[in-house]
Amino acid sequence: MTRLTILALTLGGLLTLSSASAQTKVTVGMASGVNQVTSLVAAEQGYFKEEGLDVEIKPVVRGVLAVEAIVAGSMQFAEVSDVVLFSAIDKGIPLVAIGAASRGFTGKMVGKPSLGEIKSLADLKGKRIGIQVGTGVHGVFLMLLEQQGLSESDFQISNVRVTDMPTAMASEGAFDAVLGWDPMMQRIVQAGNGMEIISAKQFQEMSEITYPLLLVADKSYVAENRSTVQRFVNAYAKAHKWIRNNPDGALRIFSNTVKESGSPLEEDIIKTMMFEVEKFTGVNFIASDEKELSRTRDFLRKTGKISSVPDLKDILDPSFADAAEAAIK
Amino acid sequence: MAALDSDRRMAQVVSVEEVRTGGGLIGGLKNLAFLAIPILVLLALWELVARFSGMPAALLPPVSAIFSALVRMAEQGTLWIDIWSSFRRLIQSVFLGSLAGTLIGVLMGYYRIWERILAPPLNFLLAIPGTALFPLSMIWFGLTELAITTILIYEVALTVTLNTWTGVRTVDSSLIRAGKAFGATGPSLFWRVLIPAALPSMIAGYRLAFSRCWRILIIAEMLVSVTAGLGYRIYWGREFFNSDVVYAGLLVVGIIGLVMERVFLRGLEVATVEHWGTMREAN
Repeated sequence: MTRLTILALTLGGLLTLSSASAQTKVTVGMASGVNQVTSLVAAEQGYFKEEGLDVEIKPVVRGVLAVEAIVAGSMQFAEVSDVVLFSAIDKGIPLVAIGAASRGFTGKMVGKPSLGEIKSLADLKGKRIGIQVGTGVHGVFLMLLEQQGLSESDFQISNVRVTDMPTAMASEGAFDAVLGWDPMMQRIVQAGNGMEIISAKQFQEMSEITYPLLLVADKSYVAENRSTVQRFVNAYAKAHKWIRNNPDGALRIFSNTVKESGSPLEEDIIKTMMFEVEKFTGVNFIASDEKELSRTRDFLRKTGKISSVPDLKDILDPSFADAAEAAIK
Repeated sequence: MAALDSDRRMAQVVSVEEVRTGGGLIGGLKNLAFLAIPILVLLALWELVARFSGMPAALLPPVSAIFSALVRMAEQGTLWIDIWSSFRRLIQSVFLGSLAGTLIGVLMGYYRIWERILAPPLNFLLAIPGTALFPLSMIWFGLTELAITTILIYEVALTVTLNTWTGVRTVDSSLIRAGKAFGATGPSLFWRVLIPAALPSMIAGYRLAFSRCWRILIIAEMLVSVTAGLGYRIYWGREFFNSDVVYAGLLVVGIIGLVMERVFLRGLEVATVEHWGTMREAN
């Protein structure tokens, strides 16, 4: 072997090594509850690595915290509800939604057994209800109240962090019901401190929503890092497809995560949480997403929660998700 | 000659009135200007930076937006409800905590045996911040008012106990001997000699406890789910990125704390220890 050949081979090897180790580092704020499955699957199945990304997944209890992290620059992507997106944009935070991290309402209402049978929200008039204010779940609740001719003042609404809801329901006389999302709601039921009075599916049907959980990033970041953003969304699209084709595998992954959190839940319960409504139908925006976003935006404007009506074209960039879904067909 | 003149001047008794007269109103206005101008300049700079720097309002709302939020909350009535809710919790906790703390502190200061029993656990508990106990109080009492007030009462009691104990313990023994020489014994010695002598330390304890309670209360209202209160409003404001509400809430918290300290607590001090001559008046 000539010296030139040896040199060429060495250089080639070094270049390969350096490109393999030059994965782009990003951080994503993972939603709490069952919606976190997409990022977990993308990590476990190696889709982030395939796309040349070194992704740190940070569990975030709610979207507001994730947006704050994006503003601070410590996070590049986050999974947030439409209410959080509109609230942030209204206050000058330049976010753009680049896809649907997942879909499907996860909020459910758990109440004290003493409430008896609840046929509608009107049956809860005057009751003390704990809700995490400012979340998408809260937004859906408000829209549903309006739909049914009710208002917040018909109830005693208390702002309760969803992680505090099991504690809230464990105390006698504190709360009559709480509206939050799994697994916290299931923990309340499992502990015998409440029963499910309105399921996620019922909420979804009553409100006529599909509830996209939006994948968001800072506008300037997206403009300056289009390749990274595309690769990130590609990984999410692959994760969605894998979940659809491997529901048992996805169930296993999420069950392990719940177990590792220190408070395991029965597998049947986790299965219901994951597949009660369709959640992983693809990262691209569908017609119902835009309809829902418009409805939420207009409702928030009407109720004074936001001061302006942003054009959806300015806050949604469907190009990444469309390209990602097209690539895996 | 000039040096002798100034020595003579210094040797003269200067009356309080002589010291205080001369340039009162103008001096007061000057002081106000020195206080107000820097604040106004800072506020003006803030307004300009917030409006023209491109920073999101969620991070730095203009000063005008903060005052608008304040006016809005006042008009809606939420401001008064929040102030009253916080104040009610504060007064309840300070009253009960001070009562408990005074009793325990006097016990410890007067009876050596109680001091020996209670001093070690007191010192241990003083090392644990009250805010660290909220997860515990939420487990015991759930997300209720009791979860807040138990910790506040506890914090106030600890502070008052420490100061009362120190105050009673460090009463000059010559005062006690003098009291006994005048025939004071038992309860009369206690109420007419010991407590007045310990009062400066006790009042200092009440002031400190009051301030600490106020600060911890605001945090408590953020942690424990309540329906009204300044801490609650600040936390609520964050959920919709309403930074103007957050800043407005913080402004009200600061102002109320300052007013309570300067008007109520200082007034208490003047009405008691200064009036009774057990503390030198501030020059």
